[in-house]
Amino acid sequence: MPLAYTFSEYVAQIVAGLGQGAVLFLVASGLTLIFGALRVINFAHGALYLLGAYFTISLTDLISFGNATFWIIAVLAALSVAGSSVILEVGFFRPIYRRPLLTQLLVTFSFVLIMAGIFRNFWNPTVTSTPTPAFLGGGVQILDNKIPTYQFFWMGLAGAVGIALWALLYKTGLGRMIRAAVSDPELLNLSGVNVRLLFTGVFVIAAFFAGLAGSVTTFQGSIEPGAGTDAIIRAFVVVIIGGLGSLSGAFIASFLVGVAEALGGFWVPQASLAIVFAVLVVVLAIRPQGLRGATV
Amino acid sequence: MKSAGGLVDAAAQQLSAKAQRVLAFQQRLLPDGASYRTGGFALWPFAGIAIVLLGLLPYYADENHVLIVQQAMYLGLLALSLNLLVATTGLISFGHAMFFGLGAYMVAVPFAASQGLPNQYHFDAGPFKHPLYGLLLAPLIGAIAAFFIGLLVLRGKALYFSLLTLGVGQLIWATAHGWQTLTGGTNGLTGIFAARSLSTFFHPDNLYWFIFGATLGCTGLLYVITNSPFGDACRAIRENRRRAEFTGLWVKRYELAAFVIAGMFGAVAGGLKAISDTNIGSGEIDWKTSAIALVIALIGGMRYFLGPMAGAIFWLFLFDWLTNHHDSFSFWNVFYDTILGCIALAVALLFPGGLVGALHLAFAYGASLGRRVLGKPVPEVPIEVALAVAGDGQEEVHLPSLAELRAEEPVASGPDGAGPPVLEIVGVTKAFGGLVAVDDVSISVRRGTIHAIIGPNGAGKTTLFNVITGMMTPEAGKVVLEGEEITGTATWRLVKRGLGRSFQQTNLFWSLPALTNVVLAGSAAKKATRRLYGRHPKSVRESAENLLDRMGLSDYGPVSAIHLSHGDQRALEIATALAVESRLLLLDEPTAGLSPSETKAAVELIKRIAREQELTVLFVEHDMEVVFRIADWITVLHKGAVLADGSPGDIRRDEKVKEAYLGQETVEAGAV
Repeated sequence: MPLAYTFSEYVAQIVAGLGQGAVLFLVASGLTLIFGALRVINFAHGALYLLGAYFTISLTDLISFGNATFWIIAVLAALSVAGSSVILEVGFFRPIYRRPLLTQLLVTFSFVLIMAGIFRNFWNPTVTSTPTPAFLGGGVQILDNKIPTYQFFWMGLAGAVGIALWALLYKTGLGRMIRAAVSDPELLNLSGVNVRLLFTGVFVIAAFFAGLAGSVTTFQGSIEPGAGTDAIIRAFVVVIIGGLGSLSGAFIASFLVGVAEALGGFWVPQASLAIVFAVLVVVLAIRPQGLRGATV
Repeated sequence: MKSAGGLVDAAAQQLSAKAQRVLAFQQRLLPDGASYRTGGFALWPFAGIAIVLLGLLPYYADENHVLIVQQAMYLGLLALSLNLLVATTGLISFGHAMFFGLGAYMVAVPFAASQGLPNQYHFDAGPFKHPLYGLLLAPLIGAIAAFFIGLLVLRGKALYFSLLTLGVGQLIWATAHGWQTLTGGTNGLTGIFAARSLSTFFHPDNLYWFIFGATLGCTGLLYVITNSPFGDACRAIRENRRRAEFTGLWVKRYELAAFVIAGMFGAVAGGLKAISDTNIGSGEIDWKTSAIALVIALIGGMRYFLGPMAGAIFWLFLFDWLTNHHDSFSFWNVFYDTILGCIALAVALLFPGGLVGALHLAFAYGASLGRRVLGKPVPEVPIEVALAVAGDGQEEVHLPSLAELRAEEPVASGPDGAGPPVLEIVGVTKAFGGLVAVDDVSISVRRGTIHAIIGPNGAGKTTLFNVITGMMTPEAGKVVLEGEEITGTATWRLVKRGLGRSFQQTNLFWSLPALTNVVLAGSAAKKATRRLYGRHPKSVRESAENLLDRMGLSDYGPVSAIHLSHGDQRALEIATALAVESRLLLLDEPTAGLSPSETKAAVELIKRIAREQELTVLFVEHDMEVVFRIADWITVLHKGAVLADGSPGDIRRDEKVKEAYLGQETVEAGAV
């Protein structure tokens, strides 16, 4: 096992891991938000992420891909995902909020199957991606290695999304209502707040960020119909390690998992996947409620 | 107070009117309860015929169909073993495919390693290189793995358990996926048995019969386990974990046992897969297999024992029909997974009874029709059977109670604070943050007394009960039961030492029959719930029936606890507390929510039973009339501290109590 890597190579791996962690956070933040407010474990969230990526691929066929259009496409794709998620929430999630856990899991899982067929048939079933926009194409020299700019771009985006969500939850009236809904939706309903609408709002916000994550990784990711399930399982790992419903926990866990996977893959390439889940098992063996989770 | 009570009554009336309308609607639409029962009986011969037909399959079906059923057998066994966790014990595992994988590799790896394939570990596995011997090891590895994994994943409750199983399942998958020299990774290990199958089985049909026979045998074992006292204990845990603890069940241990059994049979299913398909790849054991096993169980009907098996056969035939019977660009073929997903979605949302549930409904319609044609009257069967099939049972319907407790002679009063102490509470303090709920409380409860704890809301009564029963650990002080300190001891251990408890809010195994509620308590006391086969001991069943009889519930043995009236539920709760053979009974507001007549009956009952069984009773009560009617000794709690402690006469005369809490009027009204 070649362990004799240089310091510079380690730094490069860690930065790559942080970049992956940033993407993870973009998906996981919505998942943990949905769990916190709606108390539903959403297997369909990975499909929303992938939908963002496929919308981006379709849009790049229509609009030429450039520095400015990259942003326009990303926002359009994320908005389209958010729009589609309204149908999902109103049509299929509303009826299951008060149903048993098993029904919730099975209903959201059936969308994994449903969307798999849709992705395969509406878009290219083989691995695809979009060109890299020019402003992300370069690299930053750190020690001996050149680190791609997009890694830093993702980190910046994740930081921005994290701050935006935190501000939304803790600095606005809407956030106060969402947090109230987390602790007691019935009481909030009795206080004259339209909780159903609020839940739709939370779901749409989460879907928007999932779509955004899908869009801004399309140029680098290998987009194929199975990518959504990979994304959702990793996002689950992040959300569980962080503690269900905890935004800060998801933030810490995203980077923890990203770096662990990058370093693990560096040492034992075959075990990079296993390391993600091993981190999960170790954290939960010590803290069953996750890093920042309140209760089990 | 009066207007609030009136409001509650009005709301209750409205609710029951709504329930009546729902009931009437369902009765018009659905077959009556008796037809359901007949329909349910008809499922058994149907299952028998289906099993015989499956056994004879190679004689009349073409090769392709035999192969599909062969695959449905191991997939069905996987779903069936998962259903023991999900439907029986209430543990929703999302990683059951890990046992499937372990079992399959237990068969495949020794075989492949002995073959000396390129890029593969090579070692001689002795006799286990023969897949059939490997299959014998599968349940062993499944059980061992499930034991250790169970210790970890059972630390999480409900959703956390599901997510933990998902995580561990994925860890096993990722290990198999990455460790290519052992497992072959995604490509997997192939050709298991192919070279040997002819010499062992001579003919593919024999392989089918082998898989069929092994599945049938495992299914039979699972059936026995599901319907054993152990199975009842698992259902009790599913219904109500806390009540299960107070029944004296070590919940964690039962859950672990169920997890191990499910893991064992899941591994057998995996072993059969390796033998049946002669291959196993890492792609077949990831979380999607776990999810599909759940979906299959759901589609077949989780409430029915053979539902998961029916689901597996249906699922694989549907899959085959979609993918192999249409040309490759037709809608059915192109959107096969979307269609399967829509079916799963529709069943989960609209018809949780699944396929077997639909069959049950059809048989019930048949029985209903037949009864009408023959002009036979409809016998009275509780509608609960009908509701159980129709939905999640969210609409609670309370049947009016027929049992009227006979007015008994008032029982002679017991000893006045005599006898040695059974329970001693010494300087117990319990605080929640800054709020001190119980502040340095010392109480001594003497043997054979009926001891009341009274006090206004927030006086710390229920907290004190929670400390005594081990649900909370006090900051200071200790609790001594019959001379032994029990502070912070696990609830189920206390139950074994003779402590029973009822709750402020009725706490029962709601969907289990009343008799089972009581039998379970008796069985747990005799450690009979550890039995994996057979029935509860006869003595336990008899004494449970006896207890129900004394509670005036003898007619309600087979009725689910949730369908009893509130008063009967209270009586049932006391019966279960008695059935654990408790010597000290803790009752938290035993008459809460009862009507005045029910209260009177319940109070007489408690007093009579306490005297007859020489029980010590410690109870919390708001109703002063009740307190002064039955208590031998009264402790008054006020703001977390003991304000007064003495005989009812002393308390009635105590000036402090009068001033601080009771008020002149109440005491006099209570002094009947």
